[in-house]
Amino acid sequence: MLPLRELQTRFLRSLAAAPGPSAPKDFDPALLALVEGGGALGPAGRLDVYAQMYCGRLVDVLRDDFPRVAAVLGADRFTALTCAYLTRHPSTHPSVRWLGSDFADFLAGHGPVEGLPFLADLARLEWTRLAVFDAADLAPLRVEELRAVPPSAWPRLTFHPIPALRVLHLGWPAHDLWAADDPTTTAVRPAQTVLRVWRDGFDVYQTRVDTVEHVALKQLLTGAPFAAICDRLEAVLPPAGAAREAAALLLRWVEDGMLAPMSDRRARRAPSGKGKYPPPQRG
Amino acid sequence: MAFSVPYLGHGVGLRTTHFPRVLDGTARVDWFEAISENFMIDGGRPLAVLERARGSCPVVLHGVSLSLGSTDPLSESYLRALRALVDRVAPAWVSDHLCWGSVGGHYAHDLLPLPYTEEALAHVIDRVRIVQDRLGRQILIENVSSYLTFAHSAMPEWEFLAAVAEGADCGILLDVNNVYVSAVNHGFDAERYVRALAIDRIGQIHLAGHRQQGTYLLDTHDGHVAPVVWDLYRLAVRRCGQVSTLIEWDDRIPEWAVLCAEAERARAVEAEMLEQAHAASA
Repeated sequence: MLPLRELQTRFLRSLAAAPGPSAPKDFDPALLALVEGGGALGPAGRLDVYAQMYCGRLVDVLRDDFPRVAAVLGADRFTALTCAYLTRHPSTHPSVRWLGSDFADFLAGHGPVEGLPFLADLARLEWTRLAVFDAADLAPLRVEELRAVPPSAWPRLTFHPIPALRVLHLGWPAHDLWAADDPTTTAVRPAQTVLRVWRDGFDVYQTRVDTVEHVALKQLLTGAPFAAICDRLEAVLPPAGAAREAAALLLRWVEDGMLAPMSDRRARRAPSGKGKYPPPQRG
Repeated sequence: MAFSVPYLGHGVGLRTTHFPRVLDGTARVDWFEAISENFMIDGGRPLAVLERARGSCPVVLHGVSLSLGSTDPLSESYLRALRALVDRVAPAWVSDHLCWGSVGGHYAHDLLPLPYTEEALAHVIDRVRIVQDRLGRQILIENVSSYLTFAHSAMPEWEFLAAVAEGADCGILLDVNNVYVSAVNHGFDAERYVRALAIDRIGQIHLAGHRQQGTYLLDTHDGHVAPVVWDLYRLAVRRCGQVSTLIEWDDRIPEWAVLCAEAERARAVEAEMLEQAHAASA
């Protein structure tokens, strides 16, 4: 007989040791000795029911969270890769919502999957869409509120993103793969790509950000006033066009629903991070 | 020590397949059961659906990751998130499972079986008490389907479940399908299990489908309730009278009408049993 903690440690280790449908079945002998073997299954067969469910359930979760990665890889390669991921990154959160937290980095560090060097970026996009999908709610700034601002106040106006906005820096145009009619397509060339991903209502959107918008967006995310956004745009645009472009961008962001109301202090939680903006840790 | 929850009738699980119906107000049912962890998020569509659901009927929270039998410390962040969700949703009650699912900081996301020993009994009772203190309310604990038992168990599962409920002063969520699945897999008498539990502890019943998987039964929640499980439900209602009953259908989820028809069947079975009991006592 094993103490409860020892039993549980050996049990979980047996399930997670080599996840996968064809994993070897050399379960812990001390654990097997504790399992009643009545019926046709026997102790190893009974433990294997749990081992198969461990793998099957978690691979299914990752397939739901990364459907485009799964489609590109195909069923067998996706299962093999996610099983390797689960071995390296077993779940450490009570909710399976966070099971895929390290998947994109795992793919990046795994070495380019043969013929699919864009896979980590595609995974980053899919994970970011999830983060945006269930980010905190905030009714966005609407044009009417902006129109009520007197012209003299504009230079000092600051804007803040809604919580459901992320900015992604990628080495591949993963959004093109994501939007492709054929989810198995691999026809894409490397290209430095900045995407903004946001939610309006319940729907998640993404769009590529060009150089001008990227400059303005970086200013927005730091809480810079409208005048500072215009100043920075003058570095990439003729001075006469900077203010006009800043206003046009602002209007587009408002129409997309990605700016917080000016009255809402919660919106001051601007995302931060390097390259991507991870969701906040939560219970 | 006593346990009591309201009678809610016959409900279904709140699942994404039917979120559009919940949002447009056409998902009419006695009550919903929501998986707690699915709503421990900051915002978006799932929480909007949950808010809409609780505006139309009672909602209960059913967890899968409390890991009551684990020898890891209870997750403080999980308990805080659950308490916040409970405060937000004001569920009719909160439940989780008599099992463990994590150790060493790693989660299996499965409902793993406990050995039914005095050590495990004291451990689970202690943890249920802590959870109830943290939530400020009694919880219900559910028997799980299992595929193995431990040779050093000192008591059958039904005695263990009853002892936890008494020792921790909590309720029981009796999953009739799980009783049947485990009874077949381990060769015990399912009716004996149902008869052994104190009826005043049973606050909810689960009904679900299962599948024959070669030499054993697998708890799949992907189909209609089996005839033999309906028979076991009849026994439970005969013993307990009216108990809030929920259809769990989590995979291959059918059309709303099919799901509701299963809940209506449970209502009819309950009415049939209550009528028989009334006639017998007249």
